[in-house]
Amino acid sequence: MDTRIRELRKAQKVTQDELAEAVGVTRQTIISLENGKYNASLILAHKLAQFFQTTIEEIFIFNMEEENL
Amino acid sequence: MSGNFCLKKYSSDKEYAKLMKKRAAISLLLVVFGIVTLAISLYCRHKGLLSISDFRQGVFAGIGTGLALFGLILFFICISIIKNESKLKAARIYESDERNIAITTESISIATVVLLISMYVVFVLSIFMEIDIIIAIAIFVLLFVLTTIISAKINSHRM
Repeated sequence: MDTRIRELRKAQKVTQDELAEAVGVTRQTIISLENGKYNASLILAHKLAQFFQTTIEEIFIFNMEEENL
Repeated sequence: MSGNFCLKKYSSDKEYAKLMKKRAAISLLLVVFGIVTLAISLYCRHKGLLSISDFRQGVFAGIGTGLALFGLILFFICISIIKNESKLKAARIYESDERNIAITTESISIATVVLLISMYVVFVLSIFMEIDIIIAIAIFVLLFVLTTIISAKINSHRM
């Protein structure tokens, strides 16, 4: 799934390490999320939304065609 | 820490430290089992109590030594993590990381398929060798199937 994590992170001048520490995951997970290689759980999505003070929909780009909807 | 089995989330360092203490205790048990295994092997070899080949006695001694060394290394790793707060936090985050948990779960499911295929191959080949191997493999497969069914039932109630 495509995300706007990198864009939001850079806008707020936050490093991958700082973001990882804030949401309680490893830096590798943040890298995988930014590259769209790993889909976050609902809990992690909420934590990220809280960190960036936005909604989950603003962070994660849901592709209807990819999901066959 | 890479290569650790990550299967559960730990929300606090305190909770994770408790787990590390349990692991340290278990690793000491492994050391004891290893020493006992090695001692039995050496005693039997010395007294000539077991009528098994040198090769089998060597395997027995090797398992004992390996188990004791593994337990000792695991014990020191656990203690070093418990004593160092930053190490404890890093280890907890690594082990609780949801991606690492997903990787471990996927790896175990692949390993299970490989294990079952290997067991089937050994099962087929063992027809030309010993009946004991066929019985042992049949018991393991039955145990695996039963465990899978029971744990699926339990988890379906929990989730």
